[in-house]
Amino acid sequence: MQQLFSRDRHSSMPGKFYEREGPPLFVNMPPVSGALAWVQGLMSRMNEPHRCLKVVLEAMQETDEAKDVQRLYESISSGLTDFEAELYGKWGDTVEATSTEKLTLPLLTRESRSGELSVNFDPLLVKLLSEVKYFVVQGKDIPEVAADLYARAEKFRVQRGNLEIIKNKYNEMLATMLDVEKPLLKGQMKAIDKLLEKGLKELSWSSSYEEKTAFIDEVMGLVTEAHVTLTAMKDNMRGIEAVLKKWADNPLITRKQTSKTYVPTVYTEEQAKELEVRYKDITDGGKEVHNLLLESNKVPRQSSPLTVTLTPPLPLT
Amino acid sequence: MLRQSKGAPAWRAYVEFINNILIQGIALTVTNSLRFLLGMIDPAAIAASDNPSLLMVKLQLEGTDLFYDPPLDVVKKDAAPGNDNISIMDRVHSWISDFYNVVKLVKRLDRQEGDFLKEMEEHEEVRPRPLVHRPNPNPKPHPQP
Repeated sequence: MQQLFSRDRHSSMPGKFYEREGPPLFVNMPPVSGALAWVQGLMSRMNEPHRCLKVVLEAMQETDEAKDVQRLYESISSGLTDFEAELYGKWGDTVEATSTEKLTLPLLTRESRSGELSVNFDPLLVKLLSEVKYFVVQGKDIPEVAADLYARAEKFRVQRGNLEIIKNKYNEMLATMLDVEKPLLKGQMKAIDKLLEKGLKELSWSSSYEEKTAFIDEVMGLVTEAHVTLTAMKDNMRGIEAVLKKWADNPLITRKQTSKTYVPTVYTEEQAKELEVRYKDITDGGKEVHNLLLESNKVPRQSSPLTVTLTPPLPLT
Repeated sequence: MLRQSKGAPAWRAYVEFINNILIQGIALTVTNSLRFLLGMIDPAAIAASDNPSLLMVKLQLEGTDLFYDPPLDVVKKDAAPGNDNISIMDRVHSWISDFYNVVKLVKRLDRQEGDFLKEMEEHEEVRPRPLVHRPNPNPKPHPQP
């Protein structure tokens, strides 16, 4: 048993030093909390057998083997604890700088050339929030700034999600709007752009929740309305193109029996019947085209936009 | 909400745009039909397919006269439909004009009146042109054995 214990410790020593440069992370775990989870794993792997051996070790505490085991246990244990403290301390030092710097960035940015929007929530903040999430699980003592940020994590998530929806719709419109469609939606786009200025310049992530929500709701309304309108127009246009494709795909003359040579009068009769059907199709299709175009100039069906909403946080154990 | 007034320049431009799509669609319908017809009567296309010729024409001998029944190329202006003596040429021409009649079936989008006849006549692909293979009007009788 003692030999087993010390052999395991010995064999894991090189492993530990080898891995120290880059601790193996669990899937999805951020670097710092992931590394700490790994350290805690190592510790429990050592502590558990050590606890079981405690009685034996105490009974044999005068022997060399027991002293060996005890020494080894203490050195590894303190090594791991130091490593953990160092890592966590380093992380803690960066928290305040990150959060104060990145939270003052505006909600949105716009690419100057294409005019496309993007949501300006810094990746460092995303990383920070996910670290904190795991530290909470690991029962760490969270720095105040980080804890404060973490308390607002769900609100950030909702606002980021809704801004993403706005961004996607807005960028899609920019990318797909045809030159003939642009003047039709000019008024709506102008109103949206005017409102967006606020999100590009005035509001930042540290602005009050209510202020941000009011902005997001207002933009969401405008963008959704314009997007629904454009989508409806494009759907109608596709409908028209489908009608035309149906016409073009079926020639106005057919040959029902390809293996037969017709007597001219018979063929002419057959063709006349066929033509009547096709003429009717085309007349009806023409009416449909007219209707679809009229449809485009009507009020589109309004549906409430799909948005991200707050969900209660999972209970922490 | 769009709700553009009918006369607004932006809406008129959009209607014009859709109208052009419609013109293209009609043009394609006509050209596709012409192409299909050509495929049925073009000797090379028939030879390339497994299908026999589309129409049957008899070569008749009456006394010393040799003639086709129905005639190939005789244009009878007064021939009524259903008349067996309508020439093959006239039939084909009448099918082709049936294709072009499509322009009268669909109302224009950009204005109340009129059809697409003018656009079709100006359309590079659709403009009537000699697409149809003309059968030889004066076949030489086979040499007598």
